[in-house]
Amino acid sequence: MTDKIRIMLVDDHAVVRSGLGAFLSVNPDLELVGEAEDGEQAIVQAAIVKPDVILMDLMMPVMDGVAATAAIKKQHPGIQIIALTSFQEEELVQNVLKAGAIGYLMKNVSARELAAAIKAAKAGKPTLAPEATQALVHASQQAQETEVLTERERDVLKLLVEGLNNAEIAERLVVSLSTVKYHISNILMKLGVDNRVAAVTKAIQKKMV
Amino acid sequence: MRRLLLILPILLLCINLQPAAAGEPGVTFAPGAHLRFEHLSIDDGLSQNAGLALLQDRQGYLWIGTQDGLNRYNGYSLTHFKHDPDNPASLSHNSIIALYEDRDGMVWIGTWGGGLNRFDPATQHFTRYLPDPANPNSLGHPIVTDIFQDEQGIYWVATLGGLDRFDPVSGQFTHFRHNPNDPASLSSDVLAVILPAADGKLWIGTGAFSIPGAGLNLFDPATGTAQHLERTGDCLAAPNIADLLPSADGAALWIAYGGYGVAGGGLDRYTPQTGACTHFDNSQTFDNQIADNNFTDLAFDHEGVLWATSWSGGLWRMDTDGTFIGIHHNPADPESLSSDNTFTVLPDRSGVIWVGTLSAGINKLNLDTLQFRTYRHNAANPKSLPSNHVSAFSETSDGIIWLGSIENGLVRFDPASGEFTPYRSDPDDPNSISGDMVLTLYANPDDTLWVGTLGSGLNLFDPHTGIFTRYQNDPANPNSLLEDQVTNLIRDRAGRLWVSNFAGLSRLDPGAAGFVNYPLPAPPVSLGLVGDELWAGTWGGGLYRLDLSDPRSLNPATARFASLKNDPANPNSLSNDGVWAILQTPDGFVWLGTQAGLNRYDPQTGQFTIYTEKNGLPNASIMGLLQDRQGFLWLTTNHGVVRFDTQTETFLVYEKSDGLQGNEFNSNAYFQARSGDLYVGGVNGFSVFDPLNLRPNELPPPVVITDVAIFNTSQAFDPAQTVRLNYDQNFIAFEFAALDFQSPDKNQYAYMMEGFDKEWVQAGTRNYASYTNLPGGNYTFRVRAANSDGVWNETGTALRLTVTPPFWQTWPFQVGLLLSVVVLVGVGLHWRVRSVREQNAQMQKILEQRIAERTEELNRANERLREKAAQDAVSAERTRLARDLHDAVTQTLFSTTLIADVLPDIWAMNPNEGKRRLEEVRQLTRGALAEMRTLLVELRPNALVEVPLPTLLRQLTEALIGRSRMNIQLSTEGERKLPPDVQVGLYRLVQEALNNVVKHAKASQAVVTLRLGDTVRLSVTDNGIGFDPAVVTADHLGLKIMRERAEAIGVKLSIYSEPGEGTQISIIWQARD
Repeated sequence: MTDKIRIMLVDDHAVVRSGLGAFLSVNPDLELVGEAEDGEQAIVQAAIVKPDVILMDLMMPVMDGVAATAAIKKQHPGIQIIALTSFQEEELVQNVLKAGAIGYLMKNVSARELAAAIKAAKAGKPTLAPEATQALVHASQQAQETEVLTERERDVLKLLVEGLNNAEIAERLVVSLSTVKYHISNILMKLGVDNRVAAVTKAIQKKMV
Repeated sequence: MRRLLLILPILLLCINLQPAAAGEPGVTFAPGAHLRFEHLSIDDGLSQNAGLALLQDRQGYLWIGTQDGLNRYNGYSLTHFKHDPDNPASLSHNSIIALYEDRDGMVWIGTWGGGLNRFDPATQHFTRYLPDPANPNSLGHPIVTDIFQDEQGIYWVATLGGLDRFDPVSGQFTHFRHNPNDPASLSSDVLAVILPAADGKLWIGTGAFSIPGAGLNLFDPATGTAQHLERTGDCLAAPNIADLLPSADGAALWIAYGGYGVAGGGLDRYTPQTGACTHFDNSQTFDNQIADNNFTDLAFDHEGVLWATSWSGGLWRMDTDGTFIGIHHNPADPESLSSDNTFTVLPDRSGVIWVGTLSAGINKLNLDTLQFRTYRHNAANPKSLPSNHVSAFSETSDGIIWLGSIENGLVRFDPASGEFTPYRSDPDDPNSISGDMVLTLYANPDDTLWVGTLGSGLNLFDPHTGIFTRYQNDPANPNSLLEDQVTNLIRDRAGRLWVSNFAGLSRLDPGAAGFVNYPLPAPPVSLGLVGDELWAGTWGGGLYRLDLSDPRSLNPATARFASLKNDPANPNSLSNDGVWAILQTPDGFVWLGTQAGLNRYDPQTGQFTIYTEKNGLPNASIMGLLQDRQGFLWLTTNHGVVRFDTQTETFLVYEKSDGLQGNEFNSNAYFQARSGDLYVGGVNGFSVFDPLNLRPNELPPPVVITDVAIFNTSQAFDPAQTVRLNYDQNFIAFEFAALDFQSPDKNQYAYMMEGFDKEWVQAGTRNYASYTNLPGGNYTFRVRAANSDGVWNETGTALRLTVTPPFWQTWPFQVGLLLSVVVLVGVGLHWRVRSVREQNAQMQKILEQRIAERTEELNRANERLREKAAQDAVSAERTRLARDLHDAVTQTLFSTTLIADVLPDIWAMNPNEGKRRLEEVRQLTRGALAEMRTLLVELRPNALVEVPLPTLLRQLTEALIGRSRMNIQLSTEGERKLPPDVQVGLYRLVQEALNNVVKHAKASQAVVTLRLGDTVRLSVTDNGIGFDPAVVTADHLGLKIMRERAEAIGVKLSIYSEPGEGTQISIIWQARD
């Protein structure tokens, strides 16, 4: 008889923990061994309980799921962590995966899918919700877009975002005014905007600087 | 008195009969000595190998007339002049038989069938004079054999058709012919040679070029008559005269009988005044070596020695004693005369004898090389040196020189006769020399000779008996010669013979039967006596010294050898451990010749002074050391013989080109004869010379510029005129030559282009110079030269040169250019200034415009940014709220879905649990719905204002029930319109308070009451854990936000709490009028 997979639940919403508890109770291979309300509690519990898999919410007070994932993976590399969240921001996906999570699931996952993901995680196989995959792909594309800007153009963009005018940019970068204008027109073209304010906005949105 | 008179002639006779002593300066033609001829042939660039006429012009060039063209030699190359049918200014005919230079430097050329030519060196053009049947005043015959210009400037031309008189002014030829009926006419028309006689008369010899003549004539130009000289006994007997030569004092006439294709007749020395005549012919004088008695040319060299060429008997030279010595072609010796068919001889001004032959090119004999008498093996002569490898010399009191030969034993040399006799080893004759490889010789006072061989021991030779007594090593006899490879011999003051051999030294005392042997670690090869010491130089072991005054030295067991060795770390040591020669000079210094360096050793101080190539030695392997009576040291090396002046520490080098056997000399093959002559031996024979009488070539050489080339194309130029060049002909090269033919490749040059070079360029032996890009102007190219012995002609020669500058370099152009430039600049400046000012004004305007534009733009941008920021702020807030609510809904619904998913399984497992979970689902769903409603309200900007407060509060509390599973009751009363900000503010306050309860109170129950009237009362009460207001600061629990909000809308906020007793938040708002 195979051992049951020991699972810990980390979520700041009681309803979620309750629902997950119901889900686990009907799965004979899965066993609930611990719960936590925030990242800090999670780290402590994980050290005591030593689960096989943790279902980790990301948006939590005190310490969020990404930091908790990184800390737990560092101390217990054997524990597999599946991020279970309602958010699908690119940065979030990238960060938690970078932190060591093996799976990323949205809070619309069915019971069956969740059970499969947990079993896969125990076997060391990753599971990504389609939304997570999409986010990653989009992020990669976005990264390309950012690389399309030359280093010099990125320098100019940074200074634009800081609020410097053309003359100040020229002085800061020790180039001529016409060079600055040349760079800015390239930036506008590459970002697909037609004025510097839009360029600044896009830069901030896409976290290009 | 009478006796004296009698004695006098006898004395004079004796003096006359004495052979030339070896102290007289000048060259000596020693019997048996080797003569080294150099050759010029077709291979060297000569146009053809028959040299029928020779001339050295006033500049120094050597002209060679062949049967196919005229050649001019400058020491480096031969320039050809040939007949060109298309060029009337070229030579008329290629077969040259006569050459003559007149007083103006014009070269007259007699040809064999093409008449007469005159060459002008300035124009390099030939003027032709040919017989013209239509013109009786043209040249009489096309074959011209001689030309002469008399004092009046009239030319006399000898042809095979009589004598022609040419007047250059009128250009007319007048003819003088043989008239058989007129005895006062020339005896024959076949003229061969013209020589000026006294009183303006001309000697004319007849018979030439296969046509016999009729003897000698004396022609008088004044009368046009000729006197035929009749034979007197043996003299003036032969009909064909090839050449006439006046004696040095002018009183006598030498006549050579013979010629090309005509019968010979010996030589006459005829004195016209007295009629006295001496006849020389083959049988008596020439040792039967000139069978046909045919002489072709005569000349005196600059020492007054008579040279004669013969048709088939080679070259002859009359020695000072009146005997003729023949020089012949030796097929076995490539350095011999190239042929015995000699036709013409010319001694040039640098001391070189040139000999033209009928078909074997031109020969060159440098007389200065005869200062070194070199002897070589001559296969044709059994009495010559048996082999060229000479290893040692010695001399016996009879003046006989004994040589050691490496292959042929002992050789006896008689310098007087030049004959060599070898003594070889005969295996059948025990009295013959023990071996053929002789390395060393030593002559005893009684004229017996010690002969050391390489490998066959020592011999004592008695020249009278011819018997060699052998001394060889006998392993069984310790008193036999230590070893059979004998390298050197010396006799000390006590008369003991020391024999060096490969194993060490063997000493033979006078009268002793056996040798006393001293083994040495290195083979000794040289021996010397320095004071009381015996010095032995070894091969690779340095030098050993034995003090002979120390009795212990005579016993090998007790003998102690001091040594001098090379110490690489110590510069004051022997320069090399191979010591070949030891010589102590009267000043006390000991000179050591080693494999690497000449060492001067001071026995008093132990100081060494070393001389190597760095000091001027041509080669530092010193094989032999001799000192002449003037105190100069003579060294034989592996590259020449060197005279070393110990005072000035300078070296004078003599090489093969100076007449030595070669440049490589053998160790031990050096010797000074009693006469003072030095003998030096090498691998090509040996040489003998008088060190006190070596004479350098003291004649400064004439210098000529031989070629001027522009872009590597030779240009015709007149050395007297200025060469004109265009500016663009900017690569000019000069070739020049020192016309000293002793060793042209050793002539040296220095040149300078005046007006361009700052100083003289020392070109060494390079005889060309080039210049490029000379700027316009006048120049003089000067060249100086030195002969092969380094004697300089300081004046040299010069050529003027003018380079016409391009028009842009001429001064009028440049001045004009300057002026126009100045004007242009002035105008340009003024114009520019105006233009700039205008521009500036314009720029100012534009700038102002731009600034205005820019400012406007910036203002607009700023405005936009502000708006956006404001908008962003609003939407950011909204987004946050939306996210929060959305998040809450999502969690609830997620949980609901999960439970719903697993509910059947739960129910199956446990129906009670199933029921419980189902209730949970119901509540969650309702809660979610409420959340959604709240969300919508939040998202609609005006929803919070439009929807009445009680409704909003109901939605809020229901949502929270769903989310928190708490019991929250709502009680509302009354109805009234609230100002929008108050309504929103109150709603937010309740929301915040409830959130706190859910998050922090850990309550199970909460109550919200709202009383709407003139006064609005709102309270949120829970049964949670409460808190201590004094402890908890205001910004905790969002209380700060609540207070700020309350203040913003003008409501009174009160918070009551006690730990364990729950919390109540109470809000009162009073409407203001």
